[in-house]
Amino acid sequence: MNNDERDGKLAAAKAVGPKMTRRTFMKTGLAAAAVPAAAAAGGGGSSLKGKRLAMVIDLQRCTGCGACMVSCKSENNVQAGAAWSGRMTKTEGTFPNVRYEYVPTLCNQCENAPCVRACPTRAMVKGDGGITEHWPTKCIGCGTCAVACPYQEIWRNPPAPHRFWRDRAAVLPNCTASPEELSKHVGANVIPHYNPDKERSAPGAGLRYKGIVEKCNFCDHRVREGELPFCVESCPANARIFGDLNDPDSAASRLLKRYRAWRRKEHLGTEPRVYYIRDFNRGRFPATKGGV
Amino acid sequence: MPDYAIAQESAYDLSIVIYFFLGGLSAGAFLFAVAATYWKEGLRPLGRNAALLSPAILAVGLFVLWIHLGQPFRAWRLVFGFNPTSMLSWGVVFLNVFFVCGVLFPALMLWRGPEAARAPAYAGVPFAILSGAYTGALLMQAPGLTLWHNSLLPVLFLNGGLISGVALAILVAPKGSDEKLLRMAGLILMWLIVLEVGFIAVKFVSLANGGSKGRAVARALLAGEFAPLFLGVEIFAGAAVPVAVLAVRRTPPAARSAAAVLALVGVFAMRYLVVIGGQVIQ
Repeated sequence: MNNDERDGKLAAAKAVGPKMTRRTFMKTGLAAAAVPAAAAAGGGGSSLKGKRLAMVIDLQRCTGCGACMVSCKSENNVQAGAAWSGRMTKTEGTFPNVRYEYVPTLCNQCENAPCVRACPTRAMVKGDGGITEHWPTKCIGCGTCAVACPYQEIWRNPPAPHRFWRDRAAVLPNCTASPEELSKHVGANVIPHYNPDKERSAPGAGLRYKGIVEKCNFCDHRVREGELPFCVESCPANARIFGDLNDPDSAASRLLKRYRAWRRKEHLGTEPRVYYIRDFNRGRFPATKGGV
Repeated sequence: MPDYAIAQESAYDLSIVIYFFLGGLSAGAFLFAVAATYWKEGLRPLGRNAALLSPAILAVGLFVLWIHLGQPFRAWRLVFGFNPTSMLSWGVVFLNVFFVCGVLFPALMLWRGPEAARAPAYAGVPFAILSGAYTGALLMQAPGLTLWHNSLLPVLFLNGGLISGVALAILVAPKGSDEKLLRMAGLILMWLIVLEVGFIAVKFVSLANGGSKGRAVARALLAGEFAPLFLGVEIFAGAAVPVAVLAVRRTPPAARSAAAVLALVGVFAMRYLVVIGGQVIQ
């Protein structure tokens, strides 16, 4: 999809958005939810079949700016208190001998995914391209996948609906407008927990249901249309490299051949598809030969 | 590197602990009632109240489990979305069959007498065992959690259920029950608790030999933040004291009841430590 087409779609969505009441939205959401999953999975074209999608994160290129986290929030409308794209940090030592490490995290799309094994309703499945897909309409919110995930990358939606644009408290008291004032001012009839982009790959999933779990899905709504996951797209340091491991010439495959990669908690045998190469810090040691 | 940008909350919270406790209690009470009714006829009066309470307790437990769901009204998907690799899927099957048997057994026993209730009682035994044990298998599906990913857990949980079931039967025994029978039930309870302590000891062998992670869990339980609950409540109050009281030749009835209450507290502490502690200590 080229940019013009996409902008056109967005404009159409905006034109519809403010007129849509919650009730009509619920109706369309429910109607869409009735579409069989198989049809929905093929909705955006089945170009991912036979691929083994993976992400390589070059920690030496990573600057720890957090753009991936912000872009994920904005692309997927992730609620407060959750970070589908997150990070782990570690600070060691005392000044001036301090070492800081930064590792970006996301759902590892494991080949042997414990969440898929544990899900009692088959809401979590391995889909095209090896993406661990979650079907929001099938999820009952039991949290079993969240405890089974060794990486803590599955997030439970809060039991109360997402209210952000209806909140009456200002972000900075006596300084900024409250979210409710802002949405009134721009004339938006805000649907809580709405994720229009997700609707593109999973009809019925555009509505953020309360109480269910959600997680990173490699932005499958973008990947199915030939685009990159948004965190990859927006990384200013090009530290995230996305590609098909079944294609030996893909940038991801070539990097994995060139560098010794590691994955999170490899000893558990979950076979994550998110690889880390190189190091956040350059090698730093005194130029001596050691000694006994 | 444990410093996440945003820390996850435990997805299995206190409601799961309560459900595990009540589910195990119900299964244990059912198994004791069946054994008391058919295999040891003298114990029959003790089994009756336990049989009556078992399905009611399970219903409360399942209700707690149900409201724990983020989308309770989609619970029907548990039946139609069966996933054979999911222990929870299997648990739903076990619990449903057990619940039906658990209702039929006391109902038929009251209506037509113990002989008429034999079929649902015997049919319910394997499903009560599976209902008591599957909760442990459910936790085994988390490969990242040292305390959970342990094949002893189903046995530990089933035995915990039996302990609480027998303790309940002692507490709700009809007034004026034969002192000899109560003493016998007390001895069964004592030996079950001894067995549980043995299982816990075996578990510590596996933890102590489980590398740095296993040792960290063992340390947290023996000398860390969970030590008061583990050593004080589960082992001392919930196991050592009841065993000492029940082992006395002429236990006064009040002391026996107190021991049964303590055993229940100990089992609850065990469930809490495994479910909540297992998620906290990593």
